[in-house]
Amino acid sequence: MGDYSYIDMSYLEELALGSNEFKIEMLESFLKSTPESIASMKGAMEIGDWKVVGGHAHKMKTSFSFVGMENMVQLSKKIQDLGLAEENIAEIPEMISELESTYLKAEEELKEELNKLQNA
Amino acid sequence: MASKRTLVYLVDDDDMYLKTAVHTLSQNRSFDIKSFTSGEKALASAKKAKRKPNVIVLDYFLNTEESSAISGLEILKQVKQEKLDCEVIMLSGQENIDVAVNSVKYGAYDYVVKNKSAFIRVQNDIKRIAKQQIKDAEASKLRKFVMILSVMIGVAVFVAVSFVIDPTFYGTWPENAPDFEQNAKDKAQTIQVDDTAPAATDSTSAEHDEAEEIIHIQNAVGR
Repeated sequence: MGDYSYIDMSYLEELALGSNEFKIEMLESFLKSTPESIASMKGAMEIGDWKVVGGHAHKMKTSFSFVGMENMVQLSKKIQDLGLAEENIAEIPEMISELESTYLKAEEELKEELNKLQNA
Repeated sequence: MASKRTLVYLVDDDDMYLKTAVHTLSQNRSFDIKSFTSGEKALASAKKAKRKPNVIVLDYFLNTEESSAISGLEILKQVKQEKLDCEVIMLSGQENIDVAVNSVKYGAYDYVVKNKSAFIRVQNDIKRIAKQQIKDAEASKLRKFVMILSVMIGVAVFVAVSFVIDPTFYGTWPENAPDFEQNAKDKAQTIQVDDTAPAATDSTSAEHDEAEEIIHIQNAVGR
């Protein structure tokens, strides 16, 4: 397992029960769905649909936990709680921006891990 | 239950969570898994399927992204209304007392928070449900058997008692019915008559010899 700054593959490793195929499938799914969810979240934020913003954050929270991104799990939870409750919405744009930039940094590590698994 | 295997429906609009749940629960060889991304699809399948699910593992927030989608709680209510005879385990991404209370109030078997131990808990819940359903099915079979046996014994006792009280209870013998007693006597007499058969046979044999002798004389005269 590689030494990464943003991701931790130990939970996914545990869930995979020795199946490389499963890990590849999960990483591919994560790399595809996360940018889509961030884009949808930003779209909902622009039209002020905070409940939908919260809904996307709710789903992303679980996905981040699979790749060991605990800070992102906490950040998603905050966005989720504020969005669904439609409270302190002024804080949400900055949180989404932080979430996106951190994801982009983690994306490199995820791709590297995926590449390793595919060539194993 | 027709099958000893447990049919589990997994319902979650989160693709990654659904894949993980399928992968994890499929490790148990006594589970058959079917996955659905919406409660509507799962409910439609459960209604029309010949083999009904034993357990439905349902995400509470199925409409977080798609607001028109039916929520997990609403699906739970419909499962109970339709009397689908299956247990529902409610999953939720957040620890929320209202979610837990609502789930139990509307008949969920358990409420499980999607944390790292969630799959173990869900798996244990499914095993417990399957065990209970097998016990219930056996008890139901036994109840049916005892009921049928009781009815049969009741009928037999009634027939016997009513016959003892009044032997003509089931009606008298019709006048033109065959007289089996007389028939039996006639048959016995016939057998007695048959006992004289050897004498008759001797007589027939003598007549036969006599006829042969006449033919023999006629032939001699003819010659």
